[in-house]
Amino acid sequence: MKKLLLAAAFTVATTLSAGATAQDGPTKVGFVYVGPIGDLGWTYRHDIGRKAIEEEFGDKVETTYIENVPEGAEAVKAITQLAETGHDLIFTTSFGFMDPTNEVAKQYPDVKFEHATGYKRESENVSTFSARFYEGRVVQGLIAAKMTKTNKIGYIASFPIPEVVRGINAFQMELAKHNPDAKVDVKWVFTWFDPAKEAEAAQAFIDAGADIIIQHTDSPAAMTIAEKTEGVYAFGQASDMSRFGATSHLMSIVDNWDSYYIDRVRAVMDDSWSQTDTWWGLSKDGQGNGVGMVELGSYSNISDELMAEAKALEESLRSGARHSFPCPVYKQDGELAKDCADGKDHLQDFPTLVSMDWYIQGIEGSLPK
Amino acid sequence: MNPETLSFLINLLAAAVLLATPLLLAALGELVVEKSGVLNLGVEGMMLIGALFGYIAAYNLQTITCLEELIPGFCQKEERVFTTGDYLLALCCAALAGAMLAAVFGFLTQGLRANHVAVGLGLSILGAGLSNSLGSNFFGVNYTSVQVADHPELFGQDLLVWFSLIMVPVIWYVLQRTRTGLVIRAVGENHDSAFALGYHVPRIRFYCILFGGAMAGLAGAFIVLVHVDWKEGVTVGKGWLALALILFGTWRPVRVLAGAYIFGLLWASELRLDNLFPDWQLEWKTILTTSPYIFTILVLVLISRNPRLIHQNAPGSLGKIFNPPS
Repeated sequence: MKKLLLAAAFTVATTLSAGATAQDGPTKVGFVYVGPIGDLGWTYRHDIGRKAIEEEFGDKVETTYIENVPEGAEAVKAITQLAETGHDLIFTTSFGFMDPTNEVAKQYPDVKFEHATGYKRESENVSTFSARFYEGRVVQGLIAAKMTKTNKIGYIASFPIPEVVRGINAFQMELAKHNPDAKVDVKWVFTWFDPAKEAEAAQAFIDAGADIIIQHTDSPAAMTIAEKTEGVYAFGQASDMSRFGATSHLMSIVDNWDSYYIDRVRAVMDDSWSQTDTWWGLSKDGQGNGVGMVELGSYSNISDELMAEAKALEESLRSGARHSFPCPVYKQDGELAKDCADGKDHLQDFPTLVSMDWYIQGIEGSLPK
Repeated sequence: MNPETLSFLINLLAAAVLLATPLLLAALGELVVEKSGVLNLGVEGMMLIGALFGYIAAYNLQTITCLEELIPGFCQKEERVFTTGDYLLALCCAALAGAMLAAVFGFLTQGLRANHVAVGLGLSILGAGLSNSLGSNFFGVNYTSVQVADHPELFGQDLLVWFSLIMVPVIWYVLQRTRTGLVIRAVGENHDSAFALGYHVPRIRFYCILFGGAMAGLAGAFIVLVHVDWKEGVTVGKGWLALALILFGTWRPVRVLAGAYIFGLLWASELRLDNLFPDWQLEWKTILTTSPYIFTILVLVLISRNPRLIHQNAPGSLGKIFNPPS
């Protein structure tokens, strides 16, 4: 028995020293993806970020990824696998990886974790980051208001989480401002990636008379359906989807993780990494400084006049001259939002925007719980 | 019936056809495989491989014909008109690719007598991985989408829809009314007796496996050529549902057909009922989302309470490894 314990202690000791020497080698960065890197949407853009790290640091880094990891218990296995194989920094890139990431992080205090779109940081080695995609939704609201002829807009929503709800609300606010007759219809598909279902949702909207399709799911399937029907337009999500809709693409909200990823890897390399909660929009600080995490790509199929108006709006959002949720903001039942009632001039990040779980006025139906 | 309701029903049915056809194709193929006593869980993998190769073929036939690497000097870089012949050729490629992957399964389970379940699961993983890596090699991750928009239609539906419907009576007839069908069923029911009667059990099963692979390949091709474009993992579990559908249909082609269209209609109505009833409560919609699964469980419970249904149709040697008596 004693021998066995000794042997065990020896193994632990050698593993630890091996861990220590590994620090001298390349920094190992791991990624856990929710979908395939070829989804041409969400995961695809994260993988572009991974490649940007490789390009920036060359031999000094080694990157690994695991794709198609289901949210929930299965994710624990994937994250543990990366932590166990000597990765120094692990990015987990889906909301549903929030609890698994925190769970694994507690067991590996020496490994740094970066979780996208979540809000839980239960131990010191977990940071969170997200993008203010909703800033792009504001611009889409303007374009949709001016482009729709049937005044029916179909919104394909994935899961009822704050990130998606913010997008719907930001879109509706700007839409109502320019075209009070236009109506947004939201369909919850309860999936991030299911091309056939996304296509089917788009087709259902078109059959019901919608002429603008907006999506918060990961594949370009909805865009390809819009392209098949004359007079129907669509917005791209996560990546530039203009190549899937030559005559129907209006604008894409493109995620740009590159500069954040490079910053964080550099921080691990020079030992300056600490826990943060990062939320960049079109610019890093919301005041027009730095390249943020949100890009608006490939305005197309719109008049020059509308393009100029949309770009001016984009610019004012970038510089902070304009907020996405300026007061007054009314909830679905007509109640004034608390921040506005408190005399603020726009909705506050904390706690309002990060935990948004209500529709604003003008959206029908109830939010699934 | 007012015109609004009528057009709603027509659109609903059109959506159901799109969702049901790949399920039906894959399930019919797998039905023949299971009737011969083989359980191939690799349907999902074969569908993905079929989808990829069908798409690659259509892509090449539609956009440019450039076979420089194969035939030096032959490079005809121009837009081509995509004909019905081209479409059929693409479908053949898909069926062939599905059958090739099935052949791997056949070789391992029939030639080397490996466990059906283990190899089948492996085949699903292999099919998914292989189609991803081949797909990104072929298109690059940044490819331009091709839409095979003008796939040939007959009476407003794609050829494959009619093919899948015709295959229902054909498979029923072959299995129940022909000598070939009798042999297939005999091999599936009791491989030892069939062997004693002089039938080459592994060979017969191998042919059935190839047929199942070809049908799964066509199912994959339908998804990417008729419904949406190729993306990695585009089938999203349809192969697994096809397997459930066979239990649901208790190994009978007509019931499998009914099951496929019930699933298709449920899915389609989930996203469409609010078109007809704008005040439709969201709670109900959420229930509808899970309805195909609840429905399957319900039917399985009901049929498992009826031993006649299971015993009459379930092949006796399903999933068992055949060791010829020496």
